[in-house]
Amino acid sequence: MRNDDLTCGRENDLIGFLYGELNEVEAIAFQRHLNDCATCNAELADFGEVRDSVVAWRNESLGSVAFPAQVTASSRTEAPRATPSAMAALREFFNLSPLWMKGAVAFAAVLFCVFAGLALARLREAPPASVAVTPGATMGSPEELKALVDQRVQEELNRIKNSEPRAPAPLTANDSSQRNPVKRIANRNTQVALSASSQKARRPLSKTEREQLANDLRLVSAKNDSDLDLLDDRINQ
Amino acid sequence: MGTATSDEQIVERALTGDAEAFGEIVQRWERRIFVLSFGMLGREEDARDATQETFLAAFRNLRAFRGEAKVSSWLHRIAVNQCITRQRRAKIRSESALDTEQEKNAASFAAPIRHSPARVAEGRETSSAVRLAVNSLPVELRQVVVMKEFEELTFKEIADALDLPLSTVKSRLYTALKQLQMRLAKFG
Repeated sequence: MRNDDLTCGRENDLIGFLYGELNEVEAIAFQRHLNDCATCNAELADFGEVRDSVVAWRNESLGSVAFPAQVTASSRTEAPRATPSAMAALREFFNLSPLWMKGAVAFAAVLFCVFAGLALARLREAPPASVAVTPGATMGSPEELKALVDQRVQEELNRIKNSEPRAPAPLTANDSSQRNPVKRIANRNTQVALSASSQKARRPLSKTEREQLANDLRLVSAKNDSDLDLLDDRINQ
Repeated sequence: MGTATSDEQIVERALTGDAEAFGEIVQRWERRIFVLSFGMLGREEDARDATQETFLAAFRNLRAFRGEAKVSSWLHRIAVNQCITRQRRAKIRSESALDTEQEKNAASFAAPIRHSPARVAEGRETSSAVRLAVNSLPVELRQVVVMKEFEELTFKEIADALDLPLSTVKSRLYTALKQLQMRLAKFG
């Protein structure tokens, strides 16, 4: 501590010099005075330290304070921010993401690429069987198609013959047995016998069926009799 | 202020019924009044309240403004009076508890995060010592120190704001620095 009474009467110049508010001439003059005045030199050093302390307190205190005017002024003068593009937003997101998240995303991307490549390769090597379901796709010409159809028809016929060997052949209008009464009767008898035998194997004939069968036999025998008469007449003639 | 429209012109507009004119005054001076209040009171919350009260008082007394002084001087005087009034009220409430509480709060928001614990503690002690030393100055000395160190006004601006001669401002600042030096020497 220095003695307060030791002043040289140039306090105002000292303060002006300390805050740099002397003009050039005044500053040079006071600088010369400082070379000779130990009191002013000491006070200048002490006041400099006091100023440093006050400024440090100010900076520490106001450094964490948000000034209302600054906020309002900045919000008023700030140009409206353009909406970032999707890529920019993605880039910003990745920049802010932690390392593990970046690694996970990279791994997922590689996995996706591998699966996509595999799927493409499988599509290119598609098996012909799936296409062969549509005949036109594999058949090069109508002749080949016709041959295939014939073969299939033949196979189907063989299969039917093998599976039902005792089944009666379907009757048609052109069938010769229809025109020949003897053959027709024989066929009918055969059919009745077959149906009777098949039904017999399954169940006994009902009354209605028996009557129908009797009528049929009667009808056949009557026709048969007339046919025999006519044949008899021809022989006699 | 070297602006296109002077404060006095804006106040005239406000007096003629321009509703947004006073808002421009607030926008221009809010930060400086806050800094002045903070230097005078030492606490952020008190400084904010004092700033609000300053502008409220200015708005209420707008018609009393005759244009004899500058708007800046007028606002500074109102702010200093608001700070003195608040400090008096605080002293009446609790003189001893206030210092402890203020010291705790001031140190908590003043501590920079980047410093080491030892440095933070040291900084807190220094800040508290400076704050207490400044707050213990008489009001006429304190306001000069705050306007010079916090608002960074020139001697001329301070003289205009406080309506004082330039030499008085300098001599008050000299006295204030001398007293601060003595008070801080006790902590050193």
